[in-house]
Parts: sequence; structure tokens; C-alpha cells
Amino acid sequence: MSFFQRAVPASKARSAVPEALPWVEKYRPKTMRDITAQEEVVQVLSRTVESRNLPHLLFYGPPGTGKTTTILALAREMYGHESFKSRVLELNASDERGIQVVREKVKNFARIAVAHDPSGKAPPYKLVILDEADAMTSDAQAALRRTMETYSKVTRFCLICNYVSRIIEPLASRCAKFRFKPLNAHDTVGRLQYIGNQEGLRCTDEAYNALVRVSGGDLRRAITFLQSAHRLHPDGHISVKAIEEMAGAVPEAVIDLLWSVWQQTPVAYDQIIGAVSMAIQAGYSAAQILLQMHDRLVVDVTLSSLQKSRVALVFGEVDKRLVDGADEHLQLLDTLMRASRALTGATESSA
Amino acid sequence: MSLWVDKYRPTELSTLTCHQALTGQLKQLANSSDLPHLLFYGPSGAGKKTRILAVLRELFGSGVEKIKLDTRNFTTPSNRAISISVVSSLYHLEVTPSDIGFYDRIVIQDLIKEVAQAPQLDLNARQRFKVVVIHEADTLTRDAQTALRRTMERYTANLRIILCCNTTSRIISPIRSRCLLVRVAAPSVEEIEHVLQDVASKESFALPAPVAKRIIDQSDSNLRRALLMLDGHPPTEGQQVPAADWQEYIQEVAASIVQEQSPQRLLQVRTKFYELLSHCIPAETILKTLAFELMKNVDDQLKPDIAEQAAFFDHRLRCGQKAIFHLEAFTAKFMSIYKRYLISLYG
Amino acid sequence: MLLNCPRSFWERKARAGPKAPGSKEIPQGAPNCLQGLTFVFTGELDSLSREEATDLVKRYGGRVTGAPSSRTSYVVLGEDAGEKKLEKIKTLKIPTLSEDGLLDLIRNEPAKGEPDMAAAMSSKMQLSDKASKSAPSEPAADAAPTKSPALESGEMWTDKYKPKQLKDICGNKSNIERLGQWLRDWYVCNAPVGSDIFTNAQCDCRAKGRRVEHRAVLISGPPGIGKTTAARLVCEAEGYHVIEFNASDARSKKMIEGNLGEMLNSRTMIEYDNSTELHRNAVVMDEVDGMSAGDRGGIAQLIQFIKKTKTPIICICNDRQSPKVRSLANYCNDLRFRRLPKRGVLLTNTYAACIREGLKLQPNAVDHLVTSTHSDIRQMLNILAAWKLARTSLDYDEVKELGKLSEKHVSMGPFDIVGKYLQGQAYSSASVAEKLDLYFNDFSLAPLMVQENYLRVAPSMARSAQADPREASARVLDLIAQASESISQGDLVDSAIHGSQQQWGLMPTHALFSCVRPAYYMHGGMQGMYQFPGWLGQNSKAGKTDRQLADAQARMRARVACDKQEIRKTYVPLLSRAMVQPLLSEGVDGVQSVINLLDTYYLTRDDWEALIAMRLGPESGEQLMKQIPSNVKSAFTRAYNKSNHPTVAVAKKPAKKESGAGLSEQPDLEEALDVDEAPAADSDEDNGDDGIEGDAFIKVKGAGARAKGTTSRRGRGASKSTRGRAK
Repeated sequence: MSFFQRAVPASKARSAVPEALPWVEKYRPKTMRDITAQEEVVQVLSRTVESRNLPHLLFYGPPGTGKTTTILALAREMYGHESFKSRVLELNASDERGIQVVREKVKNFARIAVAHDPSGKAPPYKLVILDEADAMTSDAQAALRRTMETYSKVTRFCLICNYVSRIIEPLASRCAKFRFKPLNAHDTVGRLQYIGNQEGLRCTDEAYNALVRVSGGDLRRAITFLQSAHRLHPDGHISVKAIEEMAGAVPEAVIDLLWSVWQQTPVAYDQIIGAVSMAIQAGYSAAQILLQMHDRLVVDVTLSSLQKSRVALVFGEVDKRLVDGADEHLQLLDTLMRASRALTGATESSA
Repeated sequence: MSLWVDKYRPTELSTLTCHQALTGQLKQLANSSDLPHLLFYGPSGAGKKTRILAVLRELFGSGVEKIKLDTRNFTTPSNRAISISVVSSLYHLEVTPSDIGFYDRIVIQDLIKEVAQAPQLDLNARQRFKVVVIHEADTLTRDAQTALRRTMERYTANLRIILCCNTTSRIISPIRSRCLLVRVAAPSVEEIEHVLQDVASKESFALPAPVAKRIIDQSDSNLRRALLMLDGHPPTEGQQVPAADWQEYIQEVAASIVQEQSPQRLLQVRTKFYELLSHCIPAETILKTLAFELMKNVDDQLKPDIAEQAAFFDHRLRCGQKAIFHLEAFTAKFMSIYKRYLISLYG
Repeated sequence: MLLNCPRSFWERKARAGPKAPGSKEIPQGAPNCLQGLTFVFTGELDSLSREEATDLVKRYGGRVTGAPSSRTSYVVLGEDAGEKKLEKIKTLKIPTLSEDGLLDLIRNEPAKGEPDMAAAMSSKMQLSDKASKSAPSEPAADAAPTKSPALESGEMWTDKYKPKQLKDICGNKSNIERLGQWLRDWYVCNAPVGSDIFTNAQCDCRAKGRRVEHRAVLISGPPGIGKTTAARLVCEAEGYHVIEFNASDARSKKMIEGNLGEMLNSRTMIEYDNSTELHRNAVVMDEVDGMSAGDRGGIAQLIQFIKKTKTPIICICNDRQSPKVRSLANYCNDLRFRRLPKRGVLLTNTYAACIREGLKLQPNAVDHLVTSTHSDIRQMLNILAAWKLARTSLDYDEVKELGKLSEKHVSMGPFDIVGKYLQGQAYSSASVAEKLDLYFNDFSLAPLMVQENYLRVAPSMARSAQADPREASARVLDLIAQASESISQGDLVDSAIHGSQQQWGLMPTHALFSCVRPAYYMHGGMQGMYQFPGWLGQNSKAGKTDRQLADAQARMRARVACDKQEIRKTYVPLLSRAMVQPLLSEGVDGVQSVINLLDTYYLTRDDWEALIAMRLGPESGEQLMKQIPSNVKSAFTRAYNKSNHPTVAVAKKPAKKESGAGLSEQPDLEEALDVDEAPAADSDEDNGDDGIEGDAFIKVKGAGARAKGTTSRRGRGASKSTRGRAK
């Protein structure tokens, strides 16, 4: 009962608060000029916009590097606000995109002639954006082939994907390919700082760097993390630890322990067992631990290349098992014990 | 007369005793204007579900405790009818899609869409969204996770999703990046002891510290297990804290394997494995417990071998269907390794 | 032909090369040089595998037996000869040979003429030909004068040499005798019910000390040994007209009722035809084990018929053990036909046929043919007829080839399959392809059979390290580890086949991993009997308890938020004890506290039993159950059934939640049905009503009429409006 009494003011208070927009959307660059990274791509594309002759496009690159942002900005620039809606069709992986849709929806949109644009500003073709195109079945991709050619006069396509190898060859060959590089740390930090300042956050540079590290060059993730951190710490003080915790990263101290424990001679089995069960009790994800240990392995200077390769082999195998759902505790234990063996060069198993 | 573990389960954030820092953050989140999707992870018995319920209560008030349980039916594309039981209140809905295994994608799509599209009917509810709690999210198939990914974005206006799982290793990264990750570590020894002493004092009996320590040891820092142990064997019965029935059984199996390695013994062990499996002990648990028991019983040198074989067959176990084959193969492998080791020791 | 001596890994290795017989040259001996000699092999030969040596001897007309006896001419000794055999050789004073000795023997023995046996046979044949000529009912004999091939008659050999008279049937004499006796006595013993003769005759039978006969017989036995032929011939000989039904006739309940009934209850024209002796009818139901899905109820109906038939019924089947036939067997006299002894009448008969057709045969060749066809006369004749089309003689090696080509495809039972895999010799004598084929005989059971039994074999591969018993036992364990690893790998392949991927093309791979490879490691001497896979039973048992656990978990779900595995691991050890302890310590007085505990977790009495049964170890559930005095247990059951329990409706019932406000009943069907989507208008009113809301959703067991509340299941508005009006 008390719940309802409290409920009334709460609901009133709620309606006053405007729906918070995710920062990813809020700070998405709206024009080509706003895009700070990917200079070469942006430059080439800007020129095609001026010439009003756009080829079919294929954007590929890791997530969070601005592919979707770029094409949306481009489209907005070309069509202006009015004709954007009627001239651009955007489909992504969550929309039904089986062969049926390609044959009907996409084709129907593509074949429509372009209405005369009174302003004369918009180019005489429409744009179909197929986001996450590598998730389309190869049948559906094959069905696109002919459509792209037949209606190229009135419709241009833009395919966006992470892995260009997942796009069938005939489609890829019809497009101008643009590779989006992972953003460098400097650009990312700059962008995050801009957002941070806009939102009134007081973050240290270390925190921004930590953000970049945990997001692995994915700007969208970095911004999402920043926003989540802001939610948890509304006062604006965001520490490195908070960022790592939020991203599910394992604290460096834990990695330090796990990293050193298997490199002792003679091998301290009980310490390994202890360290592993500590990490598991704390709830850290074994896959994440592997990932971070691997980062250390790569830059480590004390191990020989042979030792590194052996250990990396173990990491790789265990990672696959983890993806298949194997028990984290056993797998992590096995990893460290085998890694310590790989150091001494002992064969895989005595049996 | 409920068991202590349920009787003394905290229902509100303010009564949670472990992980104070985390509790503070959850409170912050629950009271902020927009709650992100949440992903709770951590070992079992750490208090994930207790925290989820506490967050829900913080969000909606005591209404979430009025739950009902019913069965929803779905039809697969191949026209197979499947049903899944769902726990729900006016404000939230809890589901374990992995119950139906292969078809979990359909549950994700249909059930969650159904919830998302029906707006909050209670105009007086404190939040305008409803919450779907997905248990055992790490066992969702990839298909289901992909379906979830889009659902999370599309229905943000009136739906929040709380995922609960033991590890994030199997959660695909698009989902991880759409959720706020909440790690619930196993409570520390002190925290568990505090809880145990608290229960003991409420039940008005004295809990000697060494007994409490032993319980914590036995329970593997699993708070639920620790409380249930305390309940089953109040220290008045003596200082001994027996392990669970299945743990003792597996310990016996391990001892018998170390004692003798022969085909006949392996056959006996097979019978025992069957016995365990038919008493609902998951094969993964058997393998893991057995491996750690064996490790306890052998020399250091052999530990890496055991760990390696256990990890290897654990993977097999997950990929295969007939658990007994893999358990037996692990045992056979151990016997072979151990026999060779003994021969090398004693000639 | 399986020799029952163990073979070792080395032998297998020697076989591994293609026709290169190892170190020694195989001499080309004179034909039939070993004629009349009997050999026994023991131990491992240097260069020849047991099989090759056997072939060699047989090729030259010698005989090979398994154990030495007084009739053995030579024993060929190899390494590790069996001790028993050596002893016997000493006592019987049989000359022994080494492998070289055997080869020398072949090199040096002079050729021997046509086998004596063949000569004897042909003379015998002439006699029997004469005899059969005198019988008018033998067209084959007419058409085939002695030694002249009867190519011109287009008849199939199987028909041509089909026994035409009772005495022509070879083997199973006593069964045929009994069949004849039964038919003769039939009308005496089974006269129409109610007639005086009936009882009298029965009494008569009893008086004579004979057992009361059934009204039908069931003839069972493997195919091709002349069951149908025997039945027909006996009927004819006893003066019955045969009405035959076989698998080509529909034999459902209806058909049997209609056709058979009419037929049996009417009389045939033949009965009135005095020109023939066949006055009475006999029904032959052939292939009764083939009465399958389409013939629903057929067997049952047949049994009904047998109970009151006025005509003798002869049922014939292959598989006496099939469950369908077993019920039938209770109403029939049981006649089991056996395969003919290898060297018995069968051999003679085939031989006779060949001679008559002008096909030259070596005795050993026939011998092998009989083996490879599993004594199926029909098959043998077919093979020979086909061979005769092109050639006129057949020797041992050719038969061997032939036998392999036309090897009778007996579908093998799981026990045969596992034997072929794990029995050392059978394993070594088959090629990989053959071993793969074995799997396909029963691909669902074969892997399970291998898994069940591979630990019960003493692997031959471990034997080469006999020197040190410790080393040997370690080797056995190594092999077991490898075999079990392979089986485990096989399971992964199996999941790819039967899982979501449906990769049926992987089946040979599965065969390899789950059967062939384990058998490679483990083949050897079987210790004890092959067991039927325990996995099947255990799996369904595990499935059942798992469902019980899931049920219990679904009910506990309202109170406990953990999955069923956690429930089992953490709650069950405690619950199972807590649910029994009060009954043990307080007896009847403890009943109420147990019921309270169950109610708290919404568990039922069935859950009570299931959860307790899940307990393992020294205080296992079974034992706990036994400890409960039966009066306490029944008091508990009574008390439980008497009282009302809060339940969490699981399937398609209105779900509700227990409330602290007691169990006052408020049936409100109207309200429950009135569930428009409109949210309750007055929230204040709602607030006041929280307690009653709970009540409205309480379902007390036994209040069946409230099931209609189902409608309120969907949508939140439903419960709202209910609540609004419930006051």
C-alpha cells in the first residue's frame, strides 16, 4: 500500500524528466565535416558528393569505427532533410532480410523512378543502405546482384559490414570498397574528452586512456562505457577502476597475480590452484582473463618467441573451449598449468 | 517453516550485507532517471538473483513480490509446440529460455516482444518500463543472443532487460556492450561468516567460529550452500560439518580410483557414475568435483596432467551428448597416467 | 568359420600386408595332396596367419579341426602353443609339424586322385536316382538322367531339387515326425467343442500319458532350411489340403476375421471330391513374424482363432523370440527347426544336386559353401546354379571368393556385432571396410554395445609385454584410455549427426571412432558374457528423475530463484533430510511439520518422494524411505491427502501467490471472467485492497470449479479488475 502512495509523486517526477538520449546518438556527427577520423575515406567521399556521382559503396572495418555514421552523414548531405526520408532505405541485421525481402522490398524500392526534386539539389538516384550486410545469407546476397545492376540508374547501394570476406565476390566486385581503420587512441581520447566536457564530467586523462583500452578502438563502446560510468557516478568523478569494472575488464592487480604465478620455478602448483580459484570466486570471466593475459604475452620481453608461441597455443585452444561453454575454473587451471609447462619446454603430457 | 536461506533472504537493497559498494551503485542506478540494461555475472551462490530482486523492489516497490507462475506456449517455425514456465509480477517477468534449449530464440523474440509491445498498464507504476529478467543468459544460443541484441535497442522505451549469468565468456560482445556489467563476486569469508553469525543469533544459538570456518570452506564460498549447510547441521550436533551427499559420493569414487587402477575398477566406477547421473547430479559437476578430489589425493607432479585431462574432457562433455562416455574416458586416462607414475616410482 | 583360439596382435600384423605371406615362400603343391589328412593348429606360426594356414590346408584337400583328437594326422605347432593342446598331443601321440614342416609336406606329398567321398557320392547318387525315378512325383529325376546336365529344363534349381516327398527333407526329422503325429491326432483330440468325442479323446490322450496338444503348431527356425516345404509336405502326406497365407496377404484383424473365418467354417469342394485324398483343410500361416504395422491386431485375432479353430493351423516364423510371436507361442505346439549340421545330410544333398547337374565340386569347397551361407539350402543352390551357368567345376578358393560375394546377409543382432568387434580373432580377420559395415547392421546399438563391453575384454595388444605383470597391467590401462578416448570422440561425431547439424554423412566416421578404433585397441579374449548396454536404461532413468526435479523446481520457483541443478546440489541434500527427519524422530507427530515444509515450497507428496529418492550415499533416499515406519508413512499420506495445500498452478491454470492473509475462499468467477483491458479506474481503491488480491488468486486444492479463472492468466489488467471487484 505504501508502495502506491509513494508511486504517485514518483510518476509525476518521472514525466518531467525528458527521455535521455544515448550519448552515442546524441554525439553522432551529423555532417561529413564533423567526422574527425578516417580522413582519407571522408575526403574521397566528399569529392564524390560534389561530383554528384556516387558509385555503389562497400564499407568494411571493425565495429565502432564510423561506418554507419559516415554513410548517414553523406546521405544527409546529399539529400538534405526533406528528401532523405523518401530517397533513403536503411535496413540492418535485425530487420528481416531473407531472400524474400531482397526480392520484394529492396527490389520494389530500387525500381521506383526518382521523383523530380524541385530544389534540384538532390542527386537523381536513391540510396539503399544495407547495414551489417555480412549477416545476410549468401542466397540473399546473390539475389541482390542483379538488382544492383539493373536499377543502378535510379538506385545506389551502400553495403556495410565488419568482414569483407563474408560478402560474396560478385557483390564486392560491383562496389567501391572503403576500409575503415580502427580509430587511433589520440582521436578517440579527443572525442571522449569533448563529450566529457559537454556533459560536465571531471575525468582524468588516465580514465580516458583506460576507456580507450577497454573498448579496443571501438568508439561506440567507449562512449557507451562513458555514459554508464556517468550513471553510476553522477557526481562526474570517474576512476580508472570504475571504468574497468564496468567494461568487465579484470583489474590489473588480478592479472599481475595470475601472470606471475605460472612463471615460477619450481612450479608452485598449489599457488596456481589458489590463484585460479580466487579469480573464479571473484567472478571474473575466464575469457576476459585470457584476453588480458594474451595482451601481456605479446609485449612480454622475458619470454622467448618459442615460449610465447607455445603459451599462445594453449590460450587459443582454451578460448575455443570457453566459447563452447566449458567450465571456467577447470579451463583456467589447465591454461596456467600448461603454460608453466610450455615454459620449461616439457611435452604436452607425460602420457 | 521455510529454510533459513529463504527465511533470511534480504529483499531490499538496504538490507543486503555483502558487497556494500556494489549495493550503493545499484541504489544509484535504480533511482536514476533511466536504468540501463543490466548484466549480472558472478559465481553461483554469490547473490546475483537476490540482488536482482532487490533492484526490482527498489524500482517498483513491493508489488514485484506478488508473483505468479504460468506457462506460455509457443510454436516453432517447424510447428512444434513448446512451452516454458514464466514467473511474473505486474512489473516484471522472469524467464529461463535455456530450459527449452534449441528453441530459445523463439522465446526471446515472441515473449519479449509481447512484453515490450504491451505498455505498462499500471499508470501508477513508478517506472514506465517493464523489466524482463533472463536467467542463465550464458546458455542462450548464439541465435537467441543475436535476436536479443536488436530487441534491446528497439524497445528501450518500455522495456529493460536484466541478464543473469555465471560468466560473460559466452555472451556475445554486442550484448555486453549494450549492458551495464554488474559483477557479483562470491562474498568474502568475513562476509559469509557475518551472515552465518547473524542467522545464528536470530535463531538464537551460538555458532563457534571454527565451525563457521569449516562451513565456509566446505561451501566453496557459496553463500546459499553455506546457509543450507548451517541449517541442516546446526553445530549442536557436533563439530563435524558433513559435505553434501553427492560430494561425499564423489569423494568415495575418487578414493577408489586412486586405490586401484584396473578394468574391473573402471567398471565399478562406471556404475557409480550412472548412479550419480540418475540422481540428477550434472555431469559437469561430477567431472569437476572428481578432478579436484583427485588432485587433492595425488602428488604435485600429476596435478597438471589431471587439470589438462579434466579440462579436455570437460570440453568434450559440453559438446557431446552421452556424458558417461566422457566421464569414463577421463577416469581411464587418469588410471593410465597414475599407473605409469606408480610404476616409475616403485619400478 | 571361427576357430576358438586366441590370436595375437602379431598375427594381425602379419596379415596386414596384401598377399605377401611374410618371410616364407608358399609352395605350389600337387592337387589334393593333403587329401584325407586332418590338421590342428596351435600357437602362432612364423609367417602365416592362422587363417592363411587354414586356407592352405583346405586348398589341398586337408581338413582342419579345432582341437586335437585321435583322428588328427598332424598338429602344426607354433610359438606359445596352448598348454592343454600340448598335453593332449602327448597323450594321443600325434605327430607334430613346424610351419616349415607343413610347407614341406605340401611340397612333397604326391597328388591324390578324386576325393574318395566324391566317388562314394556319385555311386550313391546313381542309386538314389534310380529310386527317385521309380517315384512318379519326381519330374526332376525324369528330366535329369544320371550325370547328364539338365540345362534344358528351365526350372530353378531350388524348385527342381525341392524335396518332393517327406523322406527327401533333410534334417529336423524328429520335428517332422511330431508334426505328422500332431496332424494325425488333430481331429481326435480337437473334435468340435461340446461333442462327446472331444472330452473323451482328451481324456484318452491324458490317459495315454501324452500331453494335451494345442490346436496349432508354431514352426520356427532360420530361413532356408525348409520349414514351409516341410509343412506342406507333411500336410499332404497326412491328407490335408493346404491353405496358405503369407506376408503377401493382408493379415489384419479384420482380414483374419473375415477371410480365415469364412474359410474355416465352410467346407471346400475338394472335400466332396473322392478322386483325391485331400479331404481336410489345414491352414499354413507363413511368416507370422512379418505381421507388422499394417496387420494390426492380427496376432491377437489369430490367437482367438486358434482357441476355437476346427482346422489345424500351422504358423511359421523365423524369429521365435520376437515379442509378437511370443504371445502366439503360448497357444501353439512349439517346433523349433534347426540349421542342418554342416557335414550332414545337407552336404550330401547339395553334392547330389551338383553331380546330377554335372558340376564338379571339392568336398572342402562344399563345406565352405555351407558355412558361408549359414546352411541355407536355398541360397546354396542358387549360388551353384549361377556358377554352373559359366563353369563346370568349383574348387576351394573359388568357393571362398564366391562365398564372400554372395555372403548371406543375415542381419546381425547387437550381440553378434559386438562379438565381431571385440573378439580377437573375429576382429583380426575382418578388413576395415567390413568392420565399418558391421556398424551399419545396427548403428544405434553397435556403439553402445562396444562401449558397454570393451572393458570386459583382455586386449591382445597388451599381451606382447607379458614379461612384467605390472607393465602388462599398465599397458591394458593405456589401451583402455585410448579406446575410451576414441569412444568419447565418437560421441562428438554422434552429436554432429543427431544434433542440430544433422550431418548424416558422418556416420562412417562415427563407426570408426565409436566402434572400429576402440575395437582396435581392445580386441582380445572376452571375459564373461557380453552385456546389453546399460546406457539405455540408465539414460531413461536419469531422464525421469530429471523431469521430476524440473517439476519440483517449477513449483519451488515461486520461492527459490535458482535453477534445477542448484536445487539439486544445494537444496536437496538438506531438504531430503529435513523431509524425513521429523518422521523418523517423532513418528506420527512429525507429520505436520513435514507437511508444513512441503507447503512452504509448494511441493506435493510426489515431489516429496522424488526429492528424497534423489539422495545418494550411505544415507541414500531408498534407505531413508525404508527407515520410515509404514504406519508413519501412511499417516503422512493420509494427513497430506486430507489437508488443503497451496499450489502453484503450473500449466494453464490461473497462477497465484500465497499470501499471508490466510486461506479465506472468495469464489468470484464473474469477476475473473470480466477482464477487459481497461486499467482499474480508481487507484486508491486498489491500494486498499492488496490483501484481498492475494486471496482472489489463492487456489485451494479441491476447489475445482475455479479452474475457469484461466482467463485471468493473461495481461496485468486482468488481475487488476479482479482485484477491484473482489471486495
